[in-house]
Amino acid sequence: MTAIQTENLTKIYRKERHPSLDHLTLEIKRNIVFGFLGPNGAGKTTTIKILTSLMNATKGSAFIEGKLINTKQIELRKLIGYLPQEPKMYGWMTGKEVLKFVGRLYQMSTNEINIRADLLLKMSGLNDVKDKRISTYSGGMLQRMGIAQAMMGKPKVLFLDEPTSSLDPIGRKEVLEFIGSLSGECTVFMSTHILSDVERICDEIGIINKGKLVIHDQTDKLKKKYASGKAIIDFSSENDMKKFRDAVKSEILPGNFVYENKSVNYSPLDIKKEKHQLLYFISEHQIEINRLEWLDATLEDIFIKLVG
Amino acid sequence: MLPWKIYLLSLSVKKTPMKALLLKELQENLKTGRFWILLIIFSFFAIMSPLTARYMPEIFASMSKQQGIEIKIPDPTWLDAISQYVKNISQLCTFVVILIYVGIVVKEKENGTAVFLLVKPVKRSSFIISKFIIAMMILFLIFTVSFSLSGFYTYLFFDSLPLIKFTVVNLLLLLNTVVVLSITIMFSAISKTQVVAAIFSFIAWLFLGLMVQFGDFGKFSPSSLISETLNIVKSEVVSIKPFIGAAFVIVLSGIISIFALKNWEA
Repeated sequence: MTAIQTENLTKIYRKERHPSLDHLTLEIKRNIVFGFLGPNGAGKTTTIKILTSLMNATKGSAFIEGKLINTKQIELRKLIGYLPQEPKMYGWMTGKEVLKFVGRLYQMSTNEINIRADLLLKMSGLNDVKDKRISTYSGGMLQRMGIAQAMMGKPKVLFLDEPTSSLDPIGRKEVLEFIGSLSGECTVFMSTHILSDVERICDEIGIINKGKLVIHDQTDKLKKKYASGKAIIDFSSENDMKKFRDAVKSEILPGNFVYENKSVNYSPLDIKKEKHQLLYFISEHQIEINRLEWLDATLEDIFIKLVG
Repeated sequence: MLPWKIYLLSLSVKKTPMKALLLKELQENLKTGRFWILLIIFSFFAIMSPLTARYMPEIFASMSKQQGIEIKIPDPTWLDAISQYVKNISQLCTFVVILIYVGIVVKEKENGTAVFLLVKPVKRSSFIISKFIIAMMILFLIFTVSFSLSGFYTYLFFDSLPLIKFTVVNLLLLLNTVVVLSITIMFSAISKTQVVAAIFSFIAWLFLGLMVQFGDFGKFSPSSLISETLNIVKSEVVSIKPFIGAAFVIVLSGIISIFALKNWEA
């Protein structure tokens, strides 16, 4: 059974001609971390708002754990947790009070609330500040508190809207570690435009652009399928670089070359074949090099290739 | 720390989203100072009203003496104290109630806490109803304090107070304030910003006041409750029309508030 399913999900805002979300069809398996990628304004937040029942779709339907989503479905909201782009909670409450309040909304018993709140405060690293008011929390602490409150009701699906976009490197690391620790406990649907975050923790990736789903696959498969690796060659002299350039022209080494100073950035068409032939090619033409390094494909390459 | 009664309440009640919302509203009113501001302002006017009535002749006498004019004012009675009290509560204090409660819904929509709450298993109607119930409870409590303070000082200065009449006067004033409160909550639920909500709430309040002038129809205006207080004090017949108007405005405002929030998209 799928955790999240959408069928031709479309959203057209009032006063706008073009859809913000255009026939989005998506299926996400249970208990994985799903990265929802796209440039700003691609439709990521709109998708999340519809999936969290904060907004109605203009057309199409969406299901969480097989249950149809609409803004009046209260039972559905017991299945989900949500961290908005900028988490807002009641500043006059302390961290622990927020979690207790959320626990009461989910009709948990007092004992259950205390156990769950203590666990989440420890997991999020906020145990030391649990009795401080939310209004005194830093950005990173707020983000972790936001995830903790979203996890309080033991959701089956956790929606995180750009959870690391406003954080400094230390805050990002803390939040990513926290999200990573949730893997297996629930399905995580994380929207972001920070590619390194997705690469680090997501099992599957969906890329959206101008409201349309461009691709959806496993992270590793996507890398293999779309991105070719590349080589960086540092030459000993400019003369060696010229020799290499002339040899490439005469013997046709398939791929794309970007020359800069005394080095070249080479993206071969067939990486498996060229990986073996490149060294032979260099030695055959007696070209002196200081460095030859093969770099793996990155998500950035795929993203740029698909989104432009 | 919370007052011990709230703590006990939180332990004893069976956990339902509505009870959690009620408790949160109560705590919010206490911790953000809404309750205390209202209490101080209402208490101030509750004490000042009999005080002003009692010393008004002396104040006028000293003013007229300075200007060389002689003005004779009859000795004040408890009726003057109650009239002053009615005027202050129905005008200045109602104005403060609008200012205090105008952000009750729209502020949560503006700053994102409504999203935090409405994505949880909470009925949108419960969100509005909990706010209304707690605000009403707080007004009731504050009116009880004002009634006690004003009653005490009126008796102290004038040696007389018709307790039952004064109680009924306070209940009418409370009903009038609840009408204004429900209109304020309605505009708070409809509007996108606090300023817009405040402007419309004040316009609606002024309209109800002006409606009193519209002949027979005007008698249904909840603002007529203020003039009914005078009939009570004078033991004259009280019209039921403003009560019908008040009930109609409260129910209609409640329905519109819930409808607006149910259709609100984050």
